[in-house]
Amino acid sequence: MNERDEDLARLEVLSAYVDGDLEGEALAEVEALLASSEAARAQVEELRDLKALAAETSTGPSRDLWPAIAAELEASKPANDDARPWRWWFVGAAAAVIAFVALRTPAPPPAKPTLSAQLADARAAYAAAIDRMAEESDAAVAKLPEDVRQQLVVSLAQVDRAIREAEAAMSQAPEDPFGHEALLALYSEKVRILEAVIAAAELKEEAS
Amino acid sequence: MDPDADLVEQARRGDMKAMEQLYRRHQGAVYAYALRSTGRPDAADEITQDTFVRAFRGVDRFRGGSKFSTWLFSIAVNQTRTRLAKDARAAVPLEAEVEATTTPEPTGWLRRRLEAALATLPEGYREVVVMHDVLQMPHEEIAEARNCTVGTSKSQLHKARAKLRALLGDEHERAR
Repeated sequence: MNERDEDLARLEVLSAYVDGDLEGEALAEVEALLASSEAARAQVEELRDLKALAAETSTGPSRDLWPAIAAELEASKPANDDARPWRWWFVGAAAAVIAFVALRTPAPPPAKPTLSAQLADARAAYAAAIDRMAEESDAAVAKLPEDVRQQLVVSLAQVDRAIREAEAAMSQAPEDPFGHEALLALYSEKVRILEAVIAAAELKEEAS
Repeated sequence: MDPDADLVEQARRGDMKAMEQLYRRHQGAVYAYALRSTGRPDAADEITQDTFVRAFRGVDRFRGGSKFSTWLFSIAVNQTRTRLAKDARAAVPLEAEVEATTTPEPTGWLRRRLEAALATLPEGYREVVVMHDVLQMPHEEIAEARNCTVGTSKSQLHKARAKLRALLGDEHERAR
């Protein structure tokens, strides 16, 4: 071991002493060294200074990183995590609406074995129901107050536009089950609005 | 009892506010570790951000076998190692750092020297110095975060300090 290695080895032992890691014979040896060596005492002080220097408070990040972290977390959420509960909730809700519509209309076509086919059937049932409700709802709309009617026209126009866009997307990917579901959601919304219109008109008629 | 346990549980359920609180609690230490390890504020920002993103994405895998902060630091260690390897960043030559420094006040100057010297240490030495002396983490947590034994952690710390003391020797004398 050369002089430099010896010096490093001694510094290692003194570092352990500074941290209180020594005991027994090793501790006794260092205490004896410190009692006899001014250089060793100075090195202990230097090691303590070094430790204190390292512990000096550091500044934080240059900016608040949380917004970027939150954005990354949101962006990386698996689509299915969000979509799955909604999707199955919707399929259930769609089934309920279809059942409701079926009471007012002829029975929908029999179900086919695949989910995609079933969704396609549901779409057809919705579309047929909407057609059949159209006349009744048109008449109902005419009975509503002007401000309500205007709101309704806007709502229906928005849903119709979204339906057209979804149908255009579906024409590009006719087997996409998510496209089917999105379209079903829009049909469902339209049925809900038409039902509300008819119900409101019936209430108004009863009241008058 | 891990002081972060409740927040971690909420974070597991996707609570962003809990995640933000965990970030606020630990961002300073993670950043300090990254900065002292890389010597570069921009890299430290990125490592800090990546560490928290990875931690929260994988918080389901944290089973509470250690403190959350220890687990977080194991991620920070890996992120820092990856970053340093990716950059293939050569250690900043100590003399270059000295030349770039004019005549600032001794403590600040010595701190810069320390940071430059840290960058020249082998990875394991640097990690343990930063965790123990900068972040004041106990050896038990350091060992867990670095996947080594407590004995190795202590041994590496004392070897690292000896090297640092040797590197800083004359300047340290001058500053005292």
